[in-house]
Amino acid sequence: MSKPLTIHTAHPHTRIATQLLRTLAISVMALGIVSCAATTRNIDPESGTHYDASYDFTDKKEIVDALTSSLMGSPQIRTQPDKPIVVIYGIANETSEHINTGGITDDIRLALLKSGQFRFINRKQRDNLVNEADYQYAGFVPPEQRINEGRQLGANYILSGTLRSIEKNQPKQWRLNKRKLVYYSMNLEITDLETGEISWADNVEIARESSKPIIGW
Amino acid sequence: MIDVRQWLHRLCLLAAVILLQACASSGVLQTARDQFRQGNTDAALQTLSSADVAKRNRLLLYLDRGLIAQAAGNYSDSINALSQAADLVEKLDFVSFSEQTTSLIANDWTTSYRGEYSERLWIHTFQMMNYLLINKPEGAAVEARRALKVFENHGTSLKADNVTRMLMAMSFEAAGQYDSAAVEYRKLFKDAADVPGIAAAALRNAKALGRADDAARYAAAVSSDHTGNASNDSELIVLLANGFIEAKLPGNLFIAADMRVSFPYYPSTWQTVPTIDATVDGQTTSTTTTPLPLLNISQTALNARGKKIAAKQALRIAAKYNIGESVGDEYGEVTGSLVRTLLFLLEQADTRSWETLPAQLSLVRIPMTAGTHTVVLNIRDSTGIHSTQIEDIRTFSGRRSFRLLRTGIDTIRNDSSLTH
Repeated sequence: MSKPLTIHTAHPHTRIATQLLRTLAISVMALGIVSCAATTRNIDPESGTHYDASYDFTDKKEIVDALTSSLMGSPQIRTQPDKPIVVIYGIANETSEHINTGGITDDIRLALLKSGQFRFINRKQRDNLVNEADYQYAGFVPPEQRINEGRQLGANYILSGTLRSIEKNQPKQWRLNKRKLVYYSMNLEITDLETGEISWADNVEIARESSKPIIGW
Repeated sequence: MIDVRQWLHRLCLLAAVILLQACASSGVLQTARDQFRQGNTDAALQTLSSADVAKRNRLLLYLDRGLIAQAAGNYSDSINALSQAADLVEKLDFVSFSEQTTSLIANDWTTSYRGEYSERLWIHTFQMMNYLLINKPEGAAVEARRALKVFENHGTSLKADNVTRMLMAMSFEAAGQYDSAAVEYRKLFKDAADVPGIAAAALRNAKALGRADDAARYAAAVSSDHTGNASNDSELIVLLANGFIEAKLPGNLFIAADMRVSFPYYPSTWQTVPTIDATVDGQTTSTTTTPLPLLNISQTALNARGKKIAAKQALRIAAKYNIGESVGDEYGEVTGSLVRTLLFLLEQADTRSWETLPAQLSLVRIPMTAGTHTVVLNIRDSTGIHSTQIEDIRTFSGRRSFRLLRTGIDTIRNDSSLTH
């Protein structure tokens, strides 16, 4: 004789609890899957996206746009009979972040070149220019194809600048967030090589506040 | 209701996992550290590169990798590793609810290692050295400003670190930021005018800036600083790292037979300042050594954290006591005793630290004229007597050249450097 089938019925409270637990588990799993999924998206370089208070690409863009438009609108430069020939001596980084200021000068040079109002000397390539000229005159290149030496442009202006920052943290006190204020100041100047006079100078200032929670998971 | 056996089983499992995890992750680091001590830097770096270190010990991985790579002369790798360490310190600058809860019933090994205040400072010290050694003074100045921030927050326990403060000033000078250097020299002179080398370096800066008042003040101190030399126009700076810092030890305070407080401390050991004799192109030259006994600063920094450690210990004792009592009341005294024993075993002092640090870091100033020189150094330090020859040192008028020497690992390491 076969054993009668027994059906165990759970207490209604236990069933509710089980259902709740199941729902919670599924929610946590779903949340985990969504949060773990890798995503990639394009960001508009014009948008002011900042994840924290530190220097980022939108700051570079703001600095470059402001300074190039100021320089191109400068009467001292615009009234020159010939296009000014500029050599870039770089921007000193006096912040507490490892910022490659070469990116700022490259973008400023590009914007000024595109304006057609300036000419630039490629200072970074000087050693290579000498090496190449030496090579051509070492007998490997036919005389008619060699460059004429002593024909390089002489700069009449130096472009240089300084990027500085001041940081201030919120004083220690009872609080839920730590706030940080960062102030950036970028100065750019054009110096007349002949007279040593600063022909043009301007600056851009950026101030930003960020906060992060003191307690986390 | 949870069964008693089930309860104990879970607690045992938790204890085993915590103890095993602590041993497993620190084991890999320990292997690399031993390899480094034996002079096998390549093997140590290889061990660390393939190491699967627990997330909570990640900072130690970066710190050790940074210092071993530097000793091996791989400055860019060292910069990367120490930069990761600095970023991690920044990220970990919050109270983790989950970690603190676990540590309240277990121990601090379950939390992410955040580094002592002194270690956080030295990340920037060794970064400054890296940037100066690869002739990127602007990078060194950035690290100097970051070190300044650490001093702003924890200055009281760190201000005796005269070598880092000298390096900060020298980094500013190398980057052409003489005013910032002057501020640091002024503070240093106020705090430690009698420490060898400080007045002379400050005088050099004051002269460069044409500040007669400051120069006169510093010059008065230099006259009593027999080994100082402020008149020579260029300098070789030898950064001498010797030996290894003592590891933290666990201390125990018994409150009851089955209850203790376990805390970390640095042992006190005899510190000897290295002596260095130098000859420049065969001529005996006077040197000035500014010493930094890292152990002393580490002890002060750990003591500065003492109140926080004590508060946490008090909370942990209360939590463990309550767990033991509750279990005893609910399941009987035998079970309660068992639980208390387990919690007693879980009480372990967090003795994690940056163990690849040297015992001493000395900043040695060797004056020389502009030109190309050969320098022979005879070093007597706690690790023995060493002799090394550095050839083709190019110095320029008014500028400094930097070299790094590490003694106390099997072979003396004499590395690179360029002129600023």
